[in-house]
Amino acid sequence: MARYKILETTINEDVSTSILNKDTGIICPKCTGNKEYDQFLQDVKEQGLGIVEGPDITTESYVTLRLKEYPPLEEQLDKIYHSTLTAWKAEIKAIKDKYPKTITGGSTGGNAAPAWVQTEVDKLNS
Amino acid sequence: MTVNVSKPAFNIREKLSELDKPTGIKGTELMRSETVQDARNLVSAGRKNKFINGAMRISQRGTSHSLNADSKYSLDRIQHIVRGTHDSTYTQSDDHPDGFSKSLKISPNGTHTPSGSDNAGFQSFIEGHDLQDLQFGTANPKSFTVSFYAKSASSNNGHQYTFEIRSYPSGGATTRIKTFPFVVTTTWQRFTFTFTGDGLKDIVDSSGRGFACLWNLAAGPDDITSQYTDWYELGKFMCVNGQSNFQNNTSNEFYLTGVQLEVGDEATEFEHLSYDEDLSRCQRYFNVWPPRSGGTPAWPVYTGGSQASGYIWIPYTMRAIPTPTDKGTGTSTTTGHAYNNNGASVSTRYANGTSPTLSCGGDTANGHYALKMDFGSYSSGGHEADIASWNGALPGIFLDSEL
Repeated sequence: MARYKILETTINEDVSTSILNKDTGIICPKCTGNKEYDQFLQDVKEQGLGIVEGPDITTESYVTLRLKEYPPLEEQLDKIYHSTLTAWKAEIKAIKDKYPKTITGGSTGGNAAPAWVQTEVDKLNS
Repeated sequence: MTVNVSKPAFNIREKLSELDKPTGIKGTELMRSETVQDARNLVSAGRKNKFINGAMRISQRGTSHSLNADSKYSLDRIQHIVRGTHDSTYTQSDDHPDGFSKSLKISPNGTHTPSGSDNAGFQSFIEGHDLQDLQFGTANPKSFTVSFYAKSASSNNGHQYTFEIRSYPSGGATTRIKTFPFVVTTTWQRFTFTFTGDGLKDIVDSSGRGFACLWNLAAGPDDITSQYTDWYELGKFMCVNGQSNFQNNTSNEFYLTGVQLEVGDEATEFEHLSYDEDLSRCQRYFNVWPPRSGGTPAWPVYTGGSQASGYIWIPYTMRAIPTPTDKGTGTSTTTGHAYNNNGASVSTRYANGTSPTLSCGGDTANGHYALKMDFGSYSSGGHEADIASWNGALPGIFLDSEL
């Protein structure tokens, strides 16, 4: 039974990592010297990687994916005005077809602990 | 050419008598100083107290704490110790010796007879960075002196307790300890203990634990032995023969204030700091930030492709990236709201809704960190959170970076 869960947030290319202690509900940073994090590594050292659940893997839904590709509204209106409604429809349809409604997105939990956990625990033993 | 010089007459007997003019202890010692540094040390110029919150004035977590779990904090920098059973209430008390305004008061919530290796007491840590001038592990280690004021209630008048220092060497080696017994009475006494330096092992030069200053108030028989008069390698809390049991009566009380740890063989006058200095020193390890901002959206929100989270900077340099908790929940789950640019709450469009989670991050090199309020992954509706407010429990978010 996992006692800890790794939490990750990705902002552009930066990933911020925290660790949730499921027993206490406290989230600590991945930071040597923070006493909760040091205790996390010590617990993994004594009880093994089985007590750690990896971060959820999140995939985007068709709504988000389509929103990212639709041109700005001004451009769409411009296209209808200068071209035709048919041309606009074709462009939008291409995006809809690219991301069908079957892509529902969501997040999956219960993943394995990331490799860095074992690396950090090994440093305790060195 | 002849030059005549005249000098006013003086009484040679009078001048000779002035040689015996009393200068006081410090004056005599100053006159005997061989170097400027010796003189500076004698008059205690500059900062001298390495112990933080020695006057027990700072208590950011609240002024009364009933604690029965190990490692919990009460007044700032004061950590509860439990091996076996130790259930006590810590209070910031107005009882104090002359020259002080506050003290730490501890009283047991129940009676308990310790057995085996049980321990009951409290401790405060000093960072290794701040102890390097003691030159431990060298040929010239410096001695240091610990002083404090303490007293008891009538029920534990005459109890003997133990003061212990644990030194943390580099490389994670086993701690080294030294102990002193002391007997409390119902009147305030100042206790002073001089520790010779340790030439065998250094003190780790880091922001981790360098010293633990321990007040051992009770121990099982396995942890009571002769006084360790020399530094001894032992990773334990130890008491000196004759140790009393603080937990033998719920009327027992132990008061403490004026704690000072200074370099040298003498206990000098307590170094009183301004309140803001005391508070600032404590805020490196614990602070309350931000104050409750309900009704004041103050957190800019980042909405990535699949989530929303609000961020603010922590305005204190802290020892390590802190752990945030909400005082109301005691966890990192809190209460907050995310709004769009029309001022409409959009919190429920994200997985955590109005119960976001708190976490911290940043670069450990300079001690500046940020606090994140995570509303979770995007679920439905417009993905347009712009700003957020934190609506958790008063007085604010607890940021903990204690040792």
